[in-house]
Amino acid sequence: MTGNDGAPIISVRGLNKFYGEFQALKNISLDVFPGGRVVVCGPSGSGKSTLIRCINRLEAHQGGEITAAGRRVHAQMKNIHLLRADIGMVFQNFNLFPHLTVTQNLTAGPVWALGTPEAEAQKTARLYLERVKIPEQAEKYPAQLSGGQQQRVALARALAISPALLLLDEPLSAIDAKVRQRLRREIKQLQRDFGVTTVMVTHDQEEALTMADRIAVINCGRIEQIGAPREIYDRPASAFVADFLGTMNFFDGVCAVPGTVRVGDCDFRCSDESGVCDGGEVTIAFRPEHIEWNSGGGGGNRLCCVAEGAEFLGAVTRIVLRADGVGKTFIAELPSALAAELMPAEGERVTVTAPAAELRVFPRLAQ
Amino acid sequence: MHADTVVSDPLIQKPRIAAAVLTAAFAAFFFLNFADTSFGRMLAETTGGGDSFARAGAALALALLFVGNLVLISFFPVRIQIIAVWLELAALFAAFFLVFDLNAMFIQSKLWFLISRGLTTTLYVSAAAISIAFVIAVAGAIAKLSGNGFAVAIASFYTSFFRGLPLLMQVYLIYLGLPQLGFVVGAVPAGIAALSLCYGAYMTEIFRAGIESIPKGQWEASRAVGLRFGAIMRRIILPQAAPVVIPPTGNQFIAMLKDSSLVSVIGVWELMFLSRTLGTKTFQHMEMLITVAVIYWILTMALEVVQARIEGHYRARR
Repeated sequence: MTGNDGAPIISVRGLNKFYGEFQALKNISLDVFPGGRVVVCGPSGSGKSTLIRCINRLEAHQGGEITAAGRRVHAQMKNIHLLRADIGMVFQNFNLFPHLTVTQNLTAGPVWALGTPEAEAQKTARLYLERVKIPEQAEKYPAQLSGGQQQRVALARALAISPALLLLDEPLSAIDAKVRQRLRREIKQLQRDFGVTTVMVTHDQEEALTMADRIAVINCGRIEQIGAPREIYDRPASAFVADFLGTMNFFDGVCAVPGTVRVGDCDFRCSDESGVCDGGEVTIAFRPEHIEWNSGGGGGNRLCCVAEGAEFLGAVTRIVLRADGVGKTFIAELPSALAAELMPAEGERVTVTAPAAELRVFPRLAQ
Repeated sequence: MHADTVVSDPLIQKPRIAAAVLTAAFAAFFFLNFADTSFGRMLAETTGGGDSFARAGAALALALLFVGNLVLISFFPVRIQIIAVWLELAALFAAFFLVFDLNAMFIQSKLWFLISRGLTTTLYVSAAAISIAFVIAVAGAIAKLSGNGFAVAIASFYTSFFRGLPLLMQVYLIYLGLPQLGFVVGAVPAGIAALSLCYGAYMTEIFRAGIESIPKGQWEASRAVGLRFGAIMRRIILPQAAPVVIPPTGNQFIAMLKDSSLVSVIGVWELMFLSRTLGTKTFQHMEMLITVAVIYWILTMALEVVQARIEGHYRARR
């Protein structure tokens, strides 16, 4: 359940973090509610990992407040290990203990930190190894496992301390594509089964869209937008968010008449939902899948184009078009089955429509 | 080093290389001048040539023997090559020792005492010192990495002092200096103290490097499951540092075994002390020195085997 009722389990207020002169996090505020699945995503170097590492204080922050699992996180806090024992963490490069067996990796926290009896911890460990589907690897050492199996161990290790909260720092980035998809589904299943609140960091947009009930898009240490995946995809708050999640076509234009943006020799009509469009330099954006083919519909912006090439991507085909009067190519995507019929030859002229309702308008980014 | 998969003939089997080595060997042997050895004199007599003829002849014969030996050995598999060269070198050394015309009876009469008294003393002084040095090194390494001003200062002053002074001087300082402060220490405890303090200083650096070699992710992962400093050190960091630390620590132990001879100066009855005293009465210094040298050597070889076993044990787990 993702209801925003009750107190947040993580509350970050006005967080600042510096590495020397460099400010890695700028005034970050974020609430995570019990049972929530929040994904923090952004490009590399955006500060997304730093943010979740501040939550269990693997990193020190310099300003703002963090509360996690009922404790205020700060430099002088007593018994930080109790807070950390309440927060499971999975690292991008696994960080398994190479000198310990898989079972010992799982019992390390409970036995050596919390004083759980060895036998009990081993029983719990077996349970979690079954849950991550590698019970047969219990007595092996990490180096004997594949990347996917190692990450399963890391996941089980994080869950074996029965955390109130799970932090996943790019857990799937070091794993090959096929295994990644399967693990992604399994992590979702585990989240559902244990009802554990999760904060995950990723730079992979697909991962963000599939695994989150809320996404926080972070760029240059600043949160650009927080919202449900659908909301962020459909109504990106900035050109950066629009570009980062999904594919987007961008044209720079000038808004001379309210509701219309002039790009080169073409006028693009926008809808009320497109965004602020009342003068000045703007960037308009539309998704490749929203391009309509040969429909003379009234609500759209007709574009006469020359087809410049196509990329077959399996289920969809991506077609590169150059619009007359705009002077820039853009991308249209359509299901490959449909593309087989409509596909223009290279150099052929086609007319497509960019619906006004799907057009987004952003203030022009400073170059 | 990682061997390539391409195999080439041994260099020495190539005629030009063999010829070059032969020339170099001839030049070296000619320069060393074996004309005055029994072999050279025999050559001079049988051929009737002069001194310079004997010198060149002896050099040529030895050079041919040397290169012939190399070529011959190069045809065998690597294991046999190693054994053959070891045996040849050992034979040369044995021949060198035989030159002294040692009295075997005398060695035999003293050998048991050398082993029962000298060797055991050397061993237990070294073992005690390395154990204490080990504890000092762990504490010193943690202190150096701690970020606590006092700890860092004390540890770095300690390593600087004990690495900066000759061990012999430390032995004297402890044995002769401590009584000045009112602490009278026996020769054996003083020797053990000097050795463990000195080697503790070297091993502090080894352990520091070993601890630092463990990636930061291991610390983070241990903290993330709730471990505290003591548990992280004992359960996660030190066990992983062990394989890194053991080879150089083994070297230190072997070095210490021989440096323990320095405590002979304060009258500890270990190998070196006995080797000097036992031969004095009858002026048979060489017998005792060479016997003790061989004992040290055998001891070191045994330790090398032990060290290789331990390293192998850790390598198997990777």
